[in-house]
Amino acid sequence: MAQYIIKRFLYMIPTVIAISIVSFIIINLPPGDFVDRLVVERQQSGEVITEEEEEGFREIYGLDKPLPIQYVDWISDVVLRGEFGYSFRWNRPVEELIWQRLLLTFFLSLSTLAFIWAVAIPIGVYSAVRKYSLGDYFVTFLGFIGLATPSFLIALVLLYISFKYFGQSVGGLFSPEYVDAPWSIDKFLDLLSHLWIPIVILGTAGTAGLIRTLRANLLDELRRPYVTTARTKGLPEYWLLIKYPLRHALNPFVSSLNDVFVGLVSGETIVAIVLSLQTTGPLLLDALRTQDMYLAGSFILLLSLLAVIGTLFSDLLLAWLDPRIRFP
Amino acid sequence: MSDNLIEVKNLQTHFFTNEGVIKAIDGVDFNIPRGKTLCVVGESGCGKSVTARSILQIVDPPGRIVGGDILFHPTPDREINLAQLNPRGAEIRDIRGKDITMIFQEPMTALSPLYTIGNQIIEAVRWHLPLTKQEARERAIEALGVVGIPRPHELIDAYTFELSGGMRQRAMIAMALVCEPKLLIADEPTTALDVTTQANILDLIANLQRDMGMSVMFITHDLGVVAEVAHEVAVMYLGTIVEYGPVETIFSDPKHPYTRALLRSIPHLNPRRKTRLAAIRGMVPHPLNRPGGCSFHTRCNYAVAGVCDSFVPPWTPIDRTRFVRCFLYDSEHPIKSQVIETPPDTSGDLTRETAQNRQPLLDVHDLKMHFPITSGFFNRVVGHVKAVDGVSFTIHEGETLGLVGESGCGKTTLGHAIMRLYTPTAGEVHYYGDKPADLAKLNNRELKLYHREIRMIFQDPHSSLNPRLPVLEIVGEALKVNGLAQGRELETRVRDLLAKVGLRPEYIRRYPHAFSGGERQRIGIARALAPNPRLVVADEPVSALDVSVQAQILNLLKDLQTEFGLTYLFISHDLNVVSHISDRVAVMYVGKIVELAPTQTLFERPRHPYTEALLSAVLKPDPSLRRSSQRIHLEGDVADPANPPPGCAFHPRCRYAKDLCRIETPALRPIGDGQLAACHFADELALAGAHIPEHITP
Amino acid sequence: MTEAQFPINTPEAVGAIKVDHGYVAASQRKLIWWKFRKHRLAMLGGIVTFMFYFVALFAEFFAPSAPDQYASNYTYAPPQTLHLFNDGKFSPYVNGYTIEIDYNAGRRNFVVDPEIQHPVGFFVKGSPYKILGLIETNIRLLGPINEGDPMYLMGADRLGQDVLSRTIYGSRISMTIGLVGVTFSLFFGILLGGISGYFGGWIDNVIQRLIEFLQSIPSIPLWIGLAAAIPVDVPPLYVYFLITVILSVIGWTGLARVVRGKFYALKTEDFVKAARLDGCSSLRIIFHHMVPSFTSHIIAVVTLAIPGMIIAETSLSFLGIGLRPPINSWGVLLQEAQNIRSISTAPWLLFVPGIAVVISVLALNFLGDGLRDAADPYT
Repeated sequence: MAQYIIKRFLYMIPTVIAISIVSFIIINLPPGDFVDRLVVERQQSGEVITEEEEEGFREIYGLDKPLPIQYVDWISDVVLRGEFGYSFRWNRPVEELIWQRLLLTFFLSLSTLAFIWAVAIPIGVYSAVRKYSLGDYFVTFLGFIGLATPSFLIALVLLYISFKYFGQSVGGLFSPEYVDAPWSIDKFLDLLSHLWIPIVILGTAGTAGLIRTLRANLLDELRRPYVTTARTKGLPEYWLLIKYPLRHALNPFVSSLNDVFVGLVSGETIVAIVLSLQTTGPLLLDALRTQDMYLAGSFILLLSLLAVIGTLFSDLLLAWLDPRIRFP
Repeated sequence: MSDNLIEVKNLQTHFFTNEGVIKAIDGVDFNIPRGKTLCVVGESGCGKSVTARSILQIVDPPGRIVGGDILFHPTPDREINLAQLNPRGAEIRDIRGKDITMIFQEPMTALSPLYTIGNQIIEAVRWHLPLTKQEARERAIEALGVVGIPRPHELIDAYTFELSGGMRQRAMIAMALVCEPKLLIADEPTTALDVTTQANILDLIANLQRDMGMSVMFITHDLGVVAEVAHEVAVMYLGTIVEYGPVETIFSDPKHPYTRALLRSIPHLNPRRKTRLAAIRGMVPHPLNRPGGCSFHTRCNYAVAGVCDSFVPPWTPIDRTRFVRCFLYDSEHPIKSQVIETPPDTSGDLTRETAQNRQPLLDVHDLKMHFPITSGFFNRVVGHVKAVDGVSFTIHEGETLGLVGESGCGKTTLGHAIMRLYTPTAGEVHYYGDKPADLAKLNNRELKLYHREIRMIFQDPHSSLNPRLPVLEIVGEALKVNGLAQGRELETRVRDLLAKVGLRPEYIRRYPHAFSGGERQRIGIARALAPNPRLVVADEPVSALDVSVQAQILNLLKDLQTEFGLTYLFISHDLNVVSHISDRVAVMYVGKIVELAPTQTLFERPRHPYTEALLSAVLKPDPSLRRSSQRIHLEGDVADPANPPPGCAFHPRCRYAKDLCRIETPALRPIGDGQLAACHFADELALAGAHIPEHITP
Repeated sequence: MTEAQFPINTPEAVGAIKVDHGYVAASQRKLIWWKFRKHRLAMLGGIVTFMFYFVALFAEFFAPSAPDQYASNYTYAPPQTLHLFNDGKFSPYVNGYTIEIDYNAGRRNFVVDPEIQHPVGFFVKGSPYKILGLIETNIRLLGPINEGDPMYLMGADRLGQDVLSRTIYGSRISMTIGLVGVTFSLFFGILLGGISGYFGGWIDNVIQRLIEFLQSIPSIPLWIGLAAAIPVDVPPLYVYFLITVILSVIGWTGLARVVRGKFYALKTEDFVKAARLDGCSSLRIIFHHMVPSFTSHIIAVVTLAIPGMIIAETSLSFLGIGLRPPINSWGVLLQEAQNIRSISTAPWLLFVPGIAVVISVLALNFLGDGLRDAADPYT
């Protein structure tokens, strides 16, 4: 097992490096750099910036060096000093802007994951065991709708309903009085009271997908010979259902955990924008639109890293659950 | 009061499918005597397994018991009708796992890989007996010891995938025996195992049955197994039992035409007389198309029109112990059959001149086929699986060379390497056709010419035919791509080929899904014959088929050999089949040929201890021969071809092994009479051959 | 296997049952069709999908007005009901609008006025267009008989454009971007998956790592990142093209895995070995023997990939970094429904294109599911 964990960690390294390179490439994709933008902005406000001044800016921000060196500068600051660069737009170091939002994203994604599992497993089991029952058809139908509706559409519909019938907005993660308040128990409780809406919105597609997967897996597993064996041992149905087919069906479930998690981190971006949550999404979009490269790059880097860690976690969990992986 | 543990009366189990009601079991009667073994025998699809599952009420939906009684007598004066219990109720659950237990064909899938075997055994104990965890564990360890698992204290914590096939089946048996049941139902428990392992498991079950005094219901398709383990025999055909009686009389004096035909269609271990097998014509119909009247009448030589096809024959007692379901024995209206039993067709005595007088056709010299074992991100080679490791032999024009060995010995790889489906690691494959060449050295383009003369028949009749192509294209492909025939001519030739292999030429436009296993194998044979080959490599061509169909295909192969002067390399794990069809036999073990000799010599006077052990493990379909020769038990498993033991690869399991065997690898050397053996002591050892009866009863 | 898995589904079993129905003579394609036909939801999905593409193809005919036709005096006009009968006679009409001024909000509100009747008709003359870009005509399926009469069956947007017409035109982009994106994905997927599966070894290893890597990056941030890099002044057609490429960056990986898996599975099938022994060339083995065995699977996977593309395009455009006006797609339409104010004044801006997205995605999912089940007609 220890060997497996070490191996798994080593496999992660090239992925992380590749992710950092991709993040950096994305940052540099748009034509022109920050200084060009700055010049345009200053010009619009009537200021004139000479070419020398422009070069000066480039030198300060290190934008005059070749790209690979810019990359090395950037990544070594990130790794060695935890400095992600400077947000030109907010005039603050990136790390001051991102951590809280990243934490909220992480918290939201994780809660949603828990929500998905809590809802999908019992329903999936019911659906498989009572195959072709009315309940199964109903769940299957809802599942299809859930899969077919983009999460931002659900968010918009919910916005509309709450506005139309309850006369209030459901956006945001905090009540206005807590937005800028320091962290406290009350603020946390306030967060929880707001959190369920994005969780439900974000979790719908995942839940629908997982119910379908679990149902299909379980139907497969229910036909396996080891279920018959368990039955010949005289075990009651509910016991053998949980111990054998459900337990077996959970393995592909766990290995899909990562995909679901990545999907959540990814889907969170867009739902957060609609619901104006104080998570990474809105800031990332804004950063990309304004070519605030270090901020955008840091977000993509860290979100991807979050996904990689999720993969690691689900792989380790799977190895712990499935002896066939644990034993080489 | 009853001497029988189980009495089944007019049992009916039906499957309610969308296509219609399948009467899988339709009126079955039999008894399982206390402390005895009942064998239920029949071809696939006849309802043996469903019968067994009905007793435990574990028939999978959409099947369920619709009628009849299953009377279970836990003690002689108690009676429980299992057929009337709720399949999910507590009553039947108390019986399952405690009084009646079951083992299955494939322990790899019948046990869960996610729990240790100990966990799965202890679970059964704890559910039925008031024991603590520790006591249950000790009991499980004890049971594992009883079934012959070495180091049970350690292996109780092993997972199924860490054990070999034989060990897994032992663990399964331990699980079934741990609560000391009154009845053990064994559903084809040895079918997936090698002959040597099968022999060990059969002995184990027989010993346990005797020692524990339990009853066993043993389900099998193999009459050799029946002869070995049964006290009573029930022969099943299409959901009914057609004959029931003590094992001796079933074999010595079979009554029902189906039983007789079955007994005659199995190839006996008899290398002296090369007779045609008496195959049963046709195949087992699907239960939805069950013929009316006696369901066997469509294949029966005795059938009388107007009787057998119209009325269901009654369950007729022959004497106190025997019953048969056939109008021939009906006490009220016995029929006079017009057909006298056709004597076995011995006209084509196929024993032919000895191989030495003929020209060599294929000469394999020191052939090696090693597969790299890779590991890690960069696919580093960390070792080699030496699947074929220095094999040499010659096949002569017109002969059949049989190649036998247990699974994993490299026989299939050898066949593939000769066909050049693999590129051999080393060695030569000289082919002496019109243009002699070393096949091992040819490139794909050059091989094309030789692939017309050397053809292959595959084992699995399902995966070997492309489901997307009609028979015309499957059979005609070789003719077409080699430019041998086109258009009308191609069609005519494919029609001829189909007729040759016993299929109707108008099937030419059909797709493989429309054919049964046996018919598909015929298509595969037609494909092999298409470009008029000289040599055919047949890789286990009959092992996926039922006994009756197997006989048809073996006869066909023999007829085609005579008609076209074909040469066969016949690969099989079944010594009965090999002895029937081969002129000479090569025995393989861990990538090497350990013995090669004319069939009769090899079976009567084996010179390698492995051959001796294999022959001793072969089951003879004759209960009078049961345990007549003390069987040789091979310890341990077939050696790992990635890491074979030094010296002779067989030495860890060989009862004659000496120091020399552990150091020096014996070469395959001639020892007279065209016999070759790879054993240091081939000249000294007096090894026992197969017991070949002078006369085969039925 | 034991017999309890009764040979209900084995080919010979089915063959025995269906002898009368020509089963034995049927080709595999026929079997797939028969199995698909039994799957009612899939049939429905197939029909709806076909209708969507049909409408998209002849959008000019089905849309009551041109997508860019605006009328500033009908800003945010609510949907009208289409009345087919007037006094028991077939004479379709819609009601007109009256204006109410909301002094609190300081804006004009349109209210459907049952007093006013604008006659409408089928196959009326509207603004001219070319069918499939070839035949010039001006016949539209439905429209006001008197030119200039307001007809907003699904309401109007900020510029007084007909939402129904825009949605119908938008289906063109939204439904095809899935197709085109999948075609790109399919190309890369088959190429790289095929290479991976056919050659194996280190090539396979590298491609597999690449796929794992791409799949481990959260797709929406990646898409946003790439899409944000598209300069604002790029012509619409290029944007369309670039967006499909961006969507395919992730899309091909799933397909490549399927193709590779199939290649691997088939490579070891005996019938492929038999084809080699028959003397077939590699090309013939791949295209005559292997590819037909998995085309049906590929078609199913492709069908199931289209809805993902549609959703992705809609999401990106909705965020304002995908397609932009004047391109007309469902995502672009939904952009207008971005804030709560516009949704509450004109909920049809959200619901009309939203429902179009949901129904098309649903239909494609049903279709794909049915195809996947039917792809293997023996199980």
